[in-house]
Amino acid sequence: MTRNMLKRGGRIARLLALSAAVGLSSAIADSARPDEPSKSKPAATRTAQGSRALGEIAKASDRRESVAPKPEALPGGLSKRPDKTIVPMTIDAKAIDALIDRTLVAAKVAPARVCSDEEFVRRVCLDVTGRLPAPDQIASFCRSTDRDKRSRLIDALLQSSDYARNWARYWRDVIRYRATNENLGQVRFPMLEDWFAEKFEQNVPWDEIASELLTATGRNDENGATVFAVAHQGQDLAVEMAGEVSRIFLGIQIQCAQCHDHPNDPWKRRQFHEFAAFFAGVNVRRFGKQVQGRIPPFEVIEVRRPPRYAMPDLKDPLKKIPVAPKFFLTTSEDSIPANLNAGRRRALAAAYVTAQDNPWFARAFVNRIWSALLGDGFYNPVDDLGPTRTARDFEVLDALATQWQAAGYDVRELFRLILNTRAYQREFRSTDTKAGIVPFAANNPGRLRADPLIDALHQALNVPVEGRISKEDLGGKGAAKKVEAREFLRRQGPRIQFNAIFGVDPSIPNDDLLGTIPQSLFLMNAPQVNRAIESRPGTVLGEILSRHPDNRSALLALYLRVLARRPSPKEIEVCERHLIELRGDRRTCFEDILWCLINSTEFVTRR
Amino acid sequence: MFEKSIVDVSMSGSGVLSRRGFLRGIGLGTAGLGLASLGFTDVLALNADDLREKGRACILLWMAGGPSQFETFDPKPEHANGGGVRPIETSVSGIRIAPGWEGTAKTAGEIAFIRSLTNREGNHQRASYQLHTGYVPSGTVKHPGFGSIVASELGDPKFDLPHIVTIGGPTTGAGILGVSYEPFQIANPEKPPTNLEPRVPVDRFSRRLGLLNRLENAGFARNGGGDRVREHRDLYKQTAGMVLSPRVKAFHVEAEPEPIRDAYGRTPFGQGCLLARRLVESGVTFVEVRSNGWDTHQQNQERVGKLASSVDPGFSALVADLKSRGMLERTLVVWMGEFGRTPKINPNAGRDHFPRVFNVALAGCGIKGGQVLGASSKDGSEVVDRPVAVNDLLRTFCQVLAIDPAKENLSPQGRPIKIVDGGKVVKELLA
Repeated sequence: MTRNMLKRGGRIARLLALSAAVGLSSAIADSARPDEPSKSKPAATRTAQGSRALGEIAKASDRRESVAPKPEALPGGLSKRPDKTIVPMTIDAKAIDALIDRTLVAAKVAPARVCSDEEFVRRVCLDVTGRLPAPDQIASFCRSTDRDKRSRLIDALLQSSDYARNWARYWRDVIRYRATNENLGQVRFPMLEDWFAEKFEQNVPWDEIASELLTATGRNDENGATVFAVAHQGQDLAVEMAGEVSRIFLGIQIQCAQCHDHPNDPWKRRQFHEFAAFFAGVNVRRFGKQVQGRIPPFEVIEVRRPPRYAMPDLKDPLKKIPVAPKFFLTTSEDSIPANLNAGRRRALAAAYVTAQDNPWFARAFVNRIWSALLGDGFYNPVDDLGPTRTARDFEVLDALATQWQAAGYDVRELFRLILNTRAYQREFRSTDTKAGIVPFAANNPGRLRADPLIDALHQALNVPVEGRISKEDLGGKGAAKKVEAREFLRRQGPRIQFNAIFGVDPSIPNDDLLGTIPQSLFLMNAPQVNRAIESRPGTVLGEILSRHPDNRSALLALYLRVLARRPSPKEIEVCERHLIELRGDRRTCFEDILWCLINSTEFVTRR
Repeated sequence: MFEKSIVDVSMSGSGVLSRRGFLRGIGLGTAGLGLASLGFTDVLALNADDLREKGRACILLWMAGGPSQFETFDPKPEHANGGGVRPIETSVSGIRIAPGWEGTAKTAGEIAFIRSLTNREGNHQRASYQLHTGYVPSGTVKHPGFGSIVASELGDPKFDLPHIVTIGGPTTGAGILGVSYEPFQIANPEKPPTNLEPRVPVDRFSRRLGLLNRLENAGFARNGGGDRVREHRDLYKQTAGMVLSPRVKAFHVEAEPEPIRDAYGRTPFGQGCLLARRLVESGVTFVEVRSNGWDTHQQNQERVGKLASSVDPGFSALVADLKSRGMLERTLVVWMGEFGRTPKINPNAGRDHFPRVFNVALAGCGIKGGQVLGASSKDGSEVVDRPVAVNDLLRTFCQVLAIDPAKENLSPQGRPIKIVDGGKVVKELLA
């Protein structure tokens, strides 16, 4: 990189922030590495040169729980992070609601009411932490007279490690379900899950998370971020990476242009391959010798020599056309030197993708989270945003994404904002009603993902989830043995088997998830479920029936435990009639009821 | 006995109705409304062929790992690459195959051996995906497996068992065709499918289904969950229909007479082939039976010999049994794997991945048996006659199964995906 490059880089019109990434000379980068990024005063610019001075006035925000690791200068002085400015968000939940209300008024639809505390507490617990609220939590929340109790609960849940784990699993699945390397055991998705969980727990900004995934090197049993590349180990790592990076982080399906210019999308085949060229020169290979019975670690490495990327010539299958990296969202005519090595190429790709003037990056994330929380996205499916697609309520997405991006991609803050809106807290409605059809006039119920569902089964019935490690595994052989035993369970335990039946790709639209026959067979007939449904000493139902001699209070306890709500008078009536039909056989009656609750629509639904 | 409505509706369609109001699949107009087009007994009266459009079905025998062509149906006795294999004669004069395939040799009159299949994909996962779907894997589109396509094109929505069953391990899924055509997996052919048996007596199981309906009507369906309850109920009707279906007895191979069970071979693969026949007989449209362990990088000859001892009886008994029951003319049987193996024998007496030349065997459904199509060179390293590409093969399958290969299914992005992209029907294979 030379000063000359700095000048040229400065002309990249639409990606100003990248000028630093492309153009910093090694001297500057080495002498003035950015300090820990932290929230600085409004509109202050943290540049490589200016960061020392700004460091003094920058204070760690109370909302920013952790400080990101020090960005490293890459070989040759290419900074991993472009200049990032922090402009705190001014938009709040009320402002978002006002924007939504405008379209609802225009559509002449009366939105659903704000939901009850009981409905809210189940929804927010499942959405944030992936877990049902316990009966006593529901009771104390509903009893509380604190006017800010919903906001307080939201804050508390967002600070829990369950929040980090739940969303780590969500993102693990986003990557896993499109992995082209289908040997799950070798890819080590649990490592990726742990890696995400740590990032979310520390509230690392989304651009840093994305950059690390795009540029990770090392072993997949040491660095969870490498799993993204290992997941696509195959013949065309660059092609797969380019397609997935664009889909996941930008919501743009440019890989459709891999083979042909696509009639409906503006991207050309060449543009796809120019993007893929950023990911050339990266290899995934087995690390160390194969040991019988052990899963080999894999290693992601960047070749040292500048890689050559070429796309197939459609006219002559024996020929290939060399392609230099170029980002398809930039309008600039500047070309990136072809002799960049793999490390610089990927760092540059990460800088382009996550740059603050690339609106797609923020939109893709905001759209996804909003869609997961409200059951409906501005764009559906969540990974196809355009540019020829039309958003619903685009001005809401735009306002939210623009401000969130300018404020530095604070993940928890985005959750907090959305969860506090009236739009999120509305009652759910069926599509048989107008409010159920018009986006965001009601919360749209959807099927639970596999992990929250098995946790719900655990809470409702005490079915084993994590499996047990025997005493021998834990006895005396040191930490390594423990780690191995835990790893084994994470690969073989009930949670994994359950995931094999109930797992779904989180990028599939809510409305398209309809359940499968093996799933309903499992809930209907699986021995572990049916054993746990029986009323006998040691089971959930056995305890409830012995603690509540009165049928109504037993029914209440059962509903709270399984569906996290009280039964309606109509439901009580149906249950009482069932008891009469069974001539008062209480035990049989309650077993039937519990079986029905587990097999109900509501149990498998976030609502 | 149990709620009549449950059975009626389960029989009236695959019961999947999308929330936003458009219909998935075919003939589902009444399903979502709970109107039964056919009663329970009516459905039972229909035979399997009426339930399956045009009566055609397909059984795929999948040799996972990539079977060696040299030790199966393209032996090379005159070349060092052949590994000293001495071929055996078949019932068709002039066709010789590797030893260990004596059963197949006897039924050679029904079988077309293709010795000139050629492809470029040498990675297990990617090649398996390609041979199953006709497409190379891509992150965006999950292409449907050919079995799911056959099931969706030929399967009757009124059928109460899954349209597509896989025996002996997971296979490529339904992709964009959705859950209705997801293969139903059976791990062990001698054990009925997991969780298919109710854990309580049937009358109590049915009583619970009735209570579930009433509770949902009284609760979630009234309070804003109406559409979700309908979807869920459709799925449960389909599932309960299967649990209570008299057709589930098709899953029980032990009901077959002993001599027939013996003929197929008392191995998981042999019994899997027998189960496949029973399922097709009962109206299932597509069955895949998987044989694992063909990735013979070491001790190739020995291991293929062992594998052949279970695959040969299963394959040949299946073809003969279908023939004697008059089912072969409507059932396509395909024997194949994801690629072939290297002509050169490696230092571990194994053969490595080789997609450039490999072989496939087909029978039934209008395939002209008793022939060898195409040829590989003397050393087995190249196709020298009539190369056949993966899409040529799939197009030929479409032709004999009466499926339009040009039909497009839509990806979630609205991108049309042809059933088969490119390729030409291999006319020489047609009777």
